[in-house]
Amino acid sequence: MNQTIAVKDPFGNASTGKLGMWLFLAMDALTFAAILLGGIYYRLRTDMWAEAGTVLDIPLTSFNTFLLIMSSFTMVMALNAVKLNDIKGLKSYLGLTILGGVTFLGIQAYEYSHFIIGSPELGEALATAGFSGDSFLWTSGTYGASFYATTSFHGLHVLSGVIYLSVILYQANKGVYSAANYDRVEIAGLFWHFVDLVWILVFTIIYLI
Amino acid sequence: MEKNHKKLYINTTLWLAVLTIIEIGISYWEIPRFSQVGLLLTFAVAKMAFVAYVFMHLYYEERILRRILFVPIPLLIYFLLGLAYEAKFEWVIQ
Repeated sequence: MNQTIAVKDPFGNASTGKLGMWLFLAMDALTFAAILLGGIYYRLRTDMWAEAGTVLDIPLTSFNTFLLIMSSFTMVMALNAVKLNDIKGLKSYLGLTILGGVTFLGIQAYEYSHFIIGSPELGEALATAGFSGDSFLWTSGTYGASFYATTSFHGLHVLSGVIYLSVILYQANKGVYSAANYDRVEIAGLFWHFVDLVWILVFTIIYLI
Repeated sequence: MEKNHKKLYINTTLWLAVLTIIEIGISYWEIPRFSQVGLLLTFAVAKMAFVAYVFMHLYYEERILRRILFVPIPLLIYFLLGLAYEAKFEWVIQ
């Protein structure tokens, strides 16, 4: 006799892809934690560390932080739109999210170039932390190493996110997504929000503290 | 058809912006270092919780998924305290 047994999935309606992304994000979070903890360790071990706002530009990076928050908003609105079968909204919000990511990377590139080329003002700021020279490089003690390791690793995530979302936008233009099929949009969104979530911690630990 | 959550997302974004402005203000505020770091980390964790629960829809996921994601956090705090202790210890003996 055939018997049907009701089995409750402990993960509810979450798809395999979504669970896979969460697993990846948990692993990625631990990688970020290791990099940030390494920076905190070095900071506790050395006096050659600039005070907040002397070397790193807080107003410029604050703008970048607002940009990422806004891009997280547009990403969640893209998902909201596709769930309501508003494909035009999906495409517009995805486009805005990608634009936010590209602008973030542009500002980060400007920040890096300013540090690498250097200036007398930057040299003066670096001198307060015990560094010589007019440039702030990855070789500028454990301070420089921690700053570039953390921000460039995060920047690579933003770049990956921009490429990932561009593929989703391309597929949206091909008519792949609808209110009945939006799992991949949601999974890409998880990655993008994670990039924003990590930046909140990077901004606080590297720039503000 | 899904419900439109636009208002919730706008409110969350506004909260994130306000908390960021307060954070920036705290970084310029001349208060004891310990309090400043404590406040900044508290605000950062609050912002991260907003992003995870609302934008990443963790609030709507099953409890087991939330538990799996939060279990490593105490281990991370233990690791952080260990590192801080070691760094401080070597500082003292130098």
